[in-house]
Amino acid sequence: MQTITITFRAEVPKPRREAVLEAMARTSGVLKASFLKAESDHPEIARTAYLSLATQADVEAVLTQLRQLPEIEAASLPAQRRLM
Amino acid sequence: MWNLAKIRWAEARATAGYQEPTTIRVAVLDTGIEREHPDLVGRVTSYTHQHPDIPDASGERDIIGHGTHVAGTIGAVIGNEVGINGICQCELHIWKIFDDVPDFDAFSQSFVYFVDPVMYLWALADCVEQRVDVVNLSIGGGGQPDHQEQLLFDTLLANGTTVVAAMGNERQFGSPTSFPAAIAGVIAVGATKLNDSVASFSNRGNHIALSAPGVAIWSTLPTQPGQFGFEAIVGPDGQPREGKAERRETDYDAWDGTSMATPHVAAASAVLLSNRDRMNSAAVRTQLQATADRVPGMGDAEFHPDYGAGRLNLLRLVSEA
Repeated sequence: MQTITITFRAEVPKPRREAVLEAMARTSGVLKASFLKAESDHPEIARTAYLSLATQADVEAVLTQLRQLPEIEAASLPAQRRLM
Repeated sequence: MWNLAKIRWAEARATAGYQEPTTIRVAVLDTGIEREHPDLVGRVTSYTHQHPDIPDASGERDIIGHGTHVAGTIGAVIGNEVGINGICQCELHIWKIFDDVPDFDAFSQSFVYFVDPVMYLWALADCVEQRVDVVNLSIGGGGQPDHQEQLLFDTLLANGTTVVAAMGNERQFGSPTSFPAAIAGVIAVGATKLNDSVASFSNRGNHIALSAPGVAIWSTLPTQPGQFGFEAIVGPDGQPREGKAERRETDYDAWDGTSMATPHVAAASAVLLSNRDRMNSAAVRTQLQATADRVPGMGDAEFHPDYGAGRLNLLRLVSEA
């Protein structure tokens, strides 16, 4: 499974953010589209979301699609972290 | 325990007016914890090991044992005649940020456990919302933080939370910059040996804040067996598959790593916050550096990319800061 993290622009209202995630969930290869913490009232956390993608999904195509959306401030593949 | 003697732990605790940081909240984002370990029982204030959206990804067990080791260094029960002593009796808030399924690592040609990115961001967000005082991150990687990781670190630091992270263990590969240690505002920790020289694996770099003992550090491990990962064997389809497990010890063991140095500094930060007026992360860093012992490898320098400002001295931190 692969993950894409998303930051919505601060001015985008929650219903519009939800609609974007619902649309992304229907995209080929996307298994799940969700807010990081849906109930958070912290403004920075509330605009963070993620997509879970199937291993064979075309990640670059999904990233390109996300970055073309006016509601999205940033979409990226998270850097790998491991034990030290 | 040489590491506690080196940072003058017993003398610090004997200082007149020493305040145990019982109300300071230290977060450990790692492989989990075994709360029932005889040296940790009753010491864990909270343990979060599941994400509501991915309930099957991660069980309660600390399979690798890394988080149990780190948490023991910070806060194992003191003076119980069992095993080790932790540095302090702060509140321990544990987040497991690794899932239970190892992935193939092309570099090591083995199956190892990686941080789950969603569990990691979720834990950082919890730390923001709960306004923890100190965060210990004995993890790292060479990739620049993405927008979301950077945003959460910026928010944590703006809240006044002290964030401590491991410099990394790739010195023999030229000390590549590792994040989150290299994120601005994070207190990056290197590892030193018994003779106060730099550990053979400890990354150097201009972002290092200070050093702490990080070789042969005795601490707690889960009482149940577990493993670091698995060797890779070639399957019938030509693809790598899991082979023999690389087992770890149980109960206690001595481990090396900047991962093991980092919790010394996280615990020391909790002690500082308990014994002085509340201060932000930048002020904590200043006090840790000002009271660190200059070590011979630094020569006459105030700062050295192997050691930062020197090796942690808890006694001086408590008595001079």
